[in-house]
Amino acid sequence: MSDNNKVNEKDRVMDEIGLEALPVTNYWQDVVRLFTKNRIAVLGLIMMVIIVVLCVGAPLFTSHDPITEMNFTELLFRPGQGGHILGTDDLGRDIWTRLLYGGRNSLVTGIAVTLIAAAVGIAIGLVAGYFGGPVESLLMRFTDIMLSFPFLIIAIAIMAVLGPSQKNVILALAIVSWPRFTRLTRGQVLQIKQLEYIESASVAGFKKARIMFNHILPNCLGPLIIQATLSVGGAILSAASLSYLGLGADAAAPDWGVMLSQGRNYLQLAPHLTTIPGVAISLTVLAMNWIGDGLRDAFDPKMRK
Amino acid sequence: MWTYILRRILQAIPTLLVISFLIFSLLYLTPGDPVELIMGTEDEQISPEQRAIVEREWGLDKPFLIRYFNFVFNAARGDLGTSYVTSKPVFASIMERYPATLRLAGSAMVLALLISLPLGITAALRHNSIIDSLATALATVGVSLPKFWFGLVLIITLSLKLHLLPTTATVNDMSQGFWPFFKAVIMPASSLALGMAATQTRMIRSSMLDVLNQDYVRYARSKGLKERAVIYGHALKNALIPVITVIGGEVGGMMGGAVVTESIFSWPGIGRLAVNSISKRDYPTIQGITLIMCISYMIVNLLIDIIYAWVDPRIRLDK
Repeated sequence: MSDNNKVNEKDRVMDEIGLEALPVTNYWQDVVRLFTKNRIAVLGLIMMVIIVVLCVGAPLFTSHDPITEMNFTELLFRPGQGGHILGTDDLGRDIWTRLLYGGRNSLVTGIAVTLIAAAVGIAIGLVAGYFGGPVESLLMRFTDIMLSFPFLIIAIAIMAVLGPSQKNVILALAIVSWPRFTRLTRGQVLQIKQLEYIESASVAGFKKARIMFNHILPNCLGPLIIQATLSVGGAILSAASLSYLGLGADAAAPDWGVMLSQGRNYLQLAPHLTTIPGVAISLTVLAMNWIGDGLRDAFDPKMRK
Repeated sequence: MWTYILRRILQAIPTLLVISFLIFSLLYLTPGDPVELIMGTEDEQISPEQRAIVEREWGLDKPFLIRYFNFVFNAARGDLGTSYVTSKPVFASIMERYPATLRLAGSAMVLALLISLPLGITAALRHNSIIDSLATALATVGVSLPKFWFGLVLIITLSLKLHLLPTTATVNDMSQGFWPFFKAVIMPASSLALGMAATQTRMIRSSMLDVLNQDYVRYARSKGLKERAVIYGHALKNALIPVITVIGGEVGGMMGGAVVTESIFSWPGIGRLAVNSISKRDYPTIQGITLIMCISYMIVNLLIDIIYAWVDPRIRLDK
């Protein structure tokens, strides 16, 4: 009897030791914990939150209008001159205001391109990876062909056909961005498909679509989220290149790429017209890349130093 | 080895057909009337007879598929059609400008390697040191800057403020010697090399770190080789293999970058020709340039696959 008690007591203590040594956390809690421990990644996240708040709440932070409010007595003011924090552009418009409203366009472009490309790319990758056989060969062959294009060249060709507008930029960049998601998803699916729980799910009689979306997809989200984060930054950069070539957003729109392209005529006279939107693009993309790198480390502890 | 090369070349053919079909249909679907562009006048001033003559002359009256096959067969013989704007053969005007783009891209590639090799290797050798953190930080900043904006900042600081370099390229080859070419090419090449140098630095660093932990490196050290011999004789060679593939991918990004960079620095390559053709809606030229760029990209990647198979026998013996 006393022996038995002793054993139970020992078990209880062991259990407690186990519990205090290993707090019960799930996969996502681990990811969040690792991410928040990464100072650079958190800095990126804070920068991104500030940028989003400034751009979404643009009217709160400025009293000017980004497009219509031209003032021909206040052309090319330097930053700080005449009450304009960042100066004025070649039509006398407040640059700070245009920067805030322009950020909306850049963010919308980056996010929309990523969402469309991810939806299409993931769907194709899931189907190819799960079904295999001729379906997979056909889809992956097409994906590889799309990947063998130099993508900005194709985006430029598409824009040359569609004509400049923000909607077309999103479309063109989504067309060239989806194959990366497909490649990544398929690779993940091929690994997960082998696992036993997928086998038991199909033995249990679940439909294929349900297995694909409820059982496989959630388990390949990690790399896809990283790719999506990096893709937002990449799309913002490509959209700026297109705008600079005059193939991006409408020339009147407040858009970081358009602002850069208008500034190039005043490199000597007013270099801030060029430097300011460039800094804005760089900071936004940098923040996204830092978040992406932080997520990569958080999702895959092996990748950590 | 030869069977491997042959197989890779044969695999490239269907890709090429799909690419040419996509490019051709894209520009076929473009709104706008080619006859107007060819004649340089408005629709109302063209009589139906004139239109019929022009259409027959330029093969525009044929159905879509026939026009596509004509395009492919002519392209295979080096004929990419005639420019709507200049009425010159497209292939000739692309080839006239192609060497300038090659010189710019080549310079950028050399520059990127000159920066990324020492930086990446040092970062890996001094893992977790200040140099390592600095290299990693620089690499992230490098991929985040818009390349063309970096070029503009170079113009503002080096040309307009410090008056060290000309704003636009006056020479684009070595005809006047190395120094004038260097002065002309250094800014556009730096702007083009930025992203590539950043990606390569990261890649070389992580690949070198992997290799330094391998048994054969430990073995080389334990048999008493000097650190230099271990690093340059054993580690570096193996670390560079994955880097070769990254370079292939970067070439694609560089072509897109070249379009923007060439128009900033007035570099007379095919990128600038592309921008001019787009603004003039010269579709045969746009089509030709896109095709030539895709083919160049494919050739570079084919060469890289061959180099890869040559340095790593596991690849060519697979399958």
